[in-house]
Formats: sequence, structure tokens, C-alpha cells
Amino acid sequence: MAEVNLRGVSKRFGRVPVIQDVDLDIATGECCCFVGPSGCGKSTLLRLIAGLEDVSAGDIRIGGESVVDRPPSERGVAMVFQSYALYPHMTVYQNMAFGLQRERLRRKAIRARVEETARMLHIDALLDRLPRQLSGGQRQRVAIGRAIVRQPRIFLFDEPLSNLDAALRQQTRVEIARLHTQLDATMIYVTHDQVEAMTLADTLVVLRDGRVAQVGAPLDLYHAPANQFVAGFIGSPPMNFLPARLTATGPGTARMALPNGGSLSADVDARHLAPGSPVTCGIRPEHVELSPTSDADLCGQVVLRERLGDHSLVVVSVDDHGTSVTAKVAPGTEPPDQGPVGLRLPSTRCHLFDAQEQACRRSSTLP
Amino acid sequence: MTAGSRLPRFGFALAVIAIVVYAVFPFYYAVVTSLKSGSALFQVDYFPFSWEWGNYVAVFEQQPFGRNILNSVAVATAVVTFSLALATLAAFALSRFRFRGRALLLMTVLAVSMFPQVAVLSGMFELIRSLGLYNSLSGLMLSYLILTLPFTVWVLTTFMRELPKELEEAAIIDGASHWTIVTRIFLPLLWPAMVTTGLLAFIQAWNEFLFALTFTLTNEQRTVPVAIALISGGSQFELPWGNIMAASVIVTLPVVALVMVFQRRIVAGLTAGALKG
Repeated sequence: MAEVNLRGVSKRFGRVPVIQDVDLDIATGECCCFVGPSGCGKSTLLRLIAGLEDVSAGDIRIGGESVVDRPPSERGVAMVFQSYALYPHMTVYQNMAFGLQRERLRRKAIRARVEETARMLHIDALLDRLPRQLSGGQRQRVAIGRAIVRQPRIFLFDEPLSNLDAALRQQTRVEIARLHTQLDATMIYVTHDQVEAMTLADTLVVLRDGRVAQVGAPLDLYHAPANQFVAGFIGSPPMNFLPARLTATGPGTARMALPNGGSLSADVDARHLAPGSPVTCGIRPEHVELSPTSDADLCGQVVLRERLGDHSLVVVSVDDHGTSVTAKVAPGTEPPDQGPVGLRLPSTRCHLFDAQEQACRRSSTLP
Repeated sequence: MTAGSRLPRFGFALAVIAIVVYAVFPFYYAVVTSLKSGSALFQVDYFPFSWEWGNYVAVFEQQPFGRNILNSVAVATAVVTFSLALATLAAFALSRFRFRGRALLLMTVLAVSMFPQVAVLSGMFELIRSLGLYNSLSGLMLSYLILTLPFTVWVLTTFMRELPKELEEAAIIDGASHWTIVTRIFLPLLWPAMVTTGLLAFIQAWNEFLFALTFTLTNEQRTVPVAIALISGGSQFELPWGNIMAASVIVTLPVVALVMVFQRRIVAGLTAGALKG
């Protein structure tokens, strides 16, 4: 187990920058998830830590020692690949023992370690099988087992669940969380799936275009996104954004005008912005409330209702330019189809982003 | 079965028979001829009416044909071994590493196989002589590599490119060296491709005539194609067809046997690939 520190890490492929100046600290025993849209560089960052790619600039430290000049095998990392990458011609036992054999361990010691790991993952009955004789979930376990058996300092997971079906994904996710506690291991986990990221991570790293957009605990990122990108990326369905113009600012509060004439207030500190500057107001669907039109911050027409059983989504068109607001409401409380509806956007729940998409600090720290 | 489905089946069977006859009949006729002697050789018979093995004995008595067969086996085996070993390493580099001039190198390798054998003959002769390999089996082994390597390198490069990169990366993380990756991970997966290309290289080396004729001088160093071509009769006006056919049959059998043995392996290997994790 060890900590990982990245300092000014950059990676270019030819002249294309893929990772730009990333600073990151991952504490011992922490599970850190890299999330971001495809092409944001999250897999590349993982591969840089693994040593499968060389850094163009910067330093990577594992357990306090710089590892940029070391091959992957000397970094004390183990990796689980998206396609599992099991050796197709080797049995499960041979797959798991391959790395230990490279370390020139004694045969008895190898056998003991492989069998112990196999028991932990409930694959001890499969040790003589070939990968092609296993189901997807079993292959995934073997791939994880191959990583665990080497007792690495850092576990690296590269979208390990994306090839599994939904039920198995849920089950394996729980299992990985259990292993994390059981092994007390430092894990770095790349995913594009928010649910995986939110549930597994101690620390969430949101990446955008090769830069860190925000680092923090999952719920901190949910409640206090640092910028519009993180706000829109974390949370499902994504946050609603309304273009607005700042009209007045005060300590811990800001008022803004909406294009259709309405006005709105948010509990944020926007005193560094000049009144009249363009801003974006953000509010999550689960915080939008339906109300009678007489008592509403915003009025519009219902364009879509999605009943999902435990909750319903109502999409309301609020102006003629295609701006719409999604509200997440309790089942049975949906307004009638196609009718006019009022929306209340509580000021304590509103986020405010300036023209550079940076968030204004929220004055209320609601859970 | 309806009449509609019977006709295509009949046509298919006919096509199969035509291909088999076209491919096998010359060999069959060689077998029939090799069992005849004297003036019977010049009669057209489609069935072996006489079973005389005299030609087979004569082939070995009148020249060092056993030695020639051993020569051919040695040369072909060595050529297969060398070209597979060299091609595997070359293919690893060509398919797995990016380096300046890789495409040019691949095209050059391919270009080598475009020259007609006659065009390289004189240059190759000089090379063989200057290395002191004239009239020796190692001269043949060296010169045959020019025929087999382009093909083996290309096929193995293509196959190796198909192997998932993550497999190699998993091995790198497991601490495997390049050598271990090639021998423990890639070779077992390339087995079908190795068998196929090895077999073709073997057949090529086994049948090669021009280099073998040019680079050897004595009967003892000759390989079978040359030995057969140089089988002569009692006078310059007599061609001992019986002996020639018997010798041809003898040298064809090992190749047939090899193909039969490995054909099963090729098929088995291809289905056992299952590269997708």
C-alpha cells in the first residue's frame, strides 16, 4: 500500500497534448476514481501511472519515490483491463501465477498465494479452466484475481465493468468495494459511469480535455461543483442551466434577470462580478419544484413526462429558444401533459456560473 | 428432397470431382507409371496392371538417392526453423514497435520476393562462393531464406498485429520481458499461423530447383528435385521414366503426410484461438 503523487504531469502524443499539467495526491488506502467524457485523457493518465506510457513532463511518485524512470513491473502496480486481457492459452491458475513466476517465487509459495486469492474471489473451482470456458463475470474475477495475487502497492482499474451486463455490473461493483475495504488497498479506478464513480470513490477526479476540472469527495462535487462542466457532468439527469443576467449582488445573495422577463435569486456570493454581466444559473432536476403558475419563479409548457416508477421526470419548455428545465418529482404528482406549469427554483439550491463557467461560492452549505 | 435443391448439390459434387481429378490425377498417373517397366511404360494405362517395384529399388541403387532425400530433409527443416525464428522476431518488432522506416522496411521485405529467382541467381552465386558455401547444404539453406522469409515475415506480422495490445500490456505489468512475451504469450497464440507458414516454407524449400542445381556440384550434395532431374538412362536417348516416376512418388509422400498431419492442427488451432477475452 502506498500513496501516489502526481506533479505537473503532462503527456503529448506527437504535438497533441493529451494530459496537461496534472497535480494530484492520492492517499494510502484511498479509492480514487477518474471520470470524464470519452477522450478526456482518464485512461491515458492511468496508463502513465502504470508506466505503459512515458510522461512528457512532470513527476509521478509512488510511496514517495519517483517512478517515471522505472518499468511497470518495478512500480508495484497491478492493472485490470477493460477487455480483461487474460492469456487465452493459459488456465486460470497459470494466468494468476504468471506474474508471480516472473518474480521468481518458489512454486509452493506461488501455489499457496494463487489458491488463497482464488478462494477469496470464489474462483477456486475454476483454476483448471481456460478463459474461453468462463462466463464474462468469471473472467472479470480472474482478471481481478490476477491483480490481487501479486500484492501490489497500487491497483489500477481501467473501466473494468464496462463489458458486463447491468446486473453483473452492480454485483461486481459491490464486490470491488468489499475488496477495497478488505485489502485496505490504494485503488485508482477509471470509469465513465457516474454511479460507479460516486459509489466507489473516496476521491473523485473529474477530467476535461486532459486537465483536472475538480478533485474532491463525491458529495462535495455534487453539492459544490467548481465549474459548469463538473456541475453538468456529475448527477443524473444532468443539472439544468438557464442563461441569465446579473442584476444585483449582496453578501451571500445574488439576483438575476431571465431572458423571458422573470427574475431569480441564488444564495451565492457574486460580488466579484459586475452587475449586468452574463451568468448561467444551474439547478439540479431533483431540486426543481412544481407549483401553481401564480406562485412560480418560472412558467412553461410540459413537453415530456417520463414515469420511471420510483420517480418521474418532467421536461418543461420555458422559452421559445428551446431552453427547457427538467424536474424530478415524486410519482403521481406530475402535471397534465402539454399544459402550462409553474416551477419554483429555491434560491438555496441554485448555482451560479460566471461567463468563464466558474462557479460562484455558495453561501449555504446544504447537505 | 425437392428437385430444386438436388440440382445445385449435383453441380457442387461435379465441381468437387473435377477439382480432385485435376489435382490428383497427375500424381495418380505417376504412381501407375512407376509400377511399370520396359515398353509397358509407353502404353497408356489408367490402372496399375503390373505391380513391379523394380523402379523403386533402381532409384536407390543407381544413385545416392537416400542421401539426396536426407539432404532435402535437412535443408527444408533448417530453412523452416531459421525462417520461423527470424520471422517471429522480425514480426514482433514490425508489428509492436513504432520506429522510423518501419513501413519502408516492410515494403522492402515484400520487394525481395518480387525479383525472379534468375535475377538474383548470379549475385547469389557470388555470395555463396565468397562465403565458401559452394556445393554445400548450408549454401542452399542460406539462399532459400531469401525465398521463404518475405512470406513468413509478412504473414506473421499480420497475425501478430491482430493480437490485442492489452495482452502484451498485461504481460508487461506482470513483469515479462520482451523475450518472455514473444515466447510465452505470442508464440502459443501464433501457433496456427506458424504451422501454416512453416508448412509452405517447407514445401518451397523441398521443391526448389534452380538454386539447388546451380549451387551444388556433386551427387552427394544434391537435393531431390535436382537428383530426379539428373536421373539418366543407359544412353543419352533414353529417359528412364520408370525411375523418374518412382523417385517423384517417393519425394511427394512426405509432403502429403506433413500436410495431412498439420492440416488437423491448423484447423484445431484456429478454432482454439478465442483471443477475445
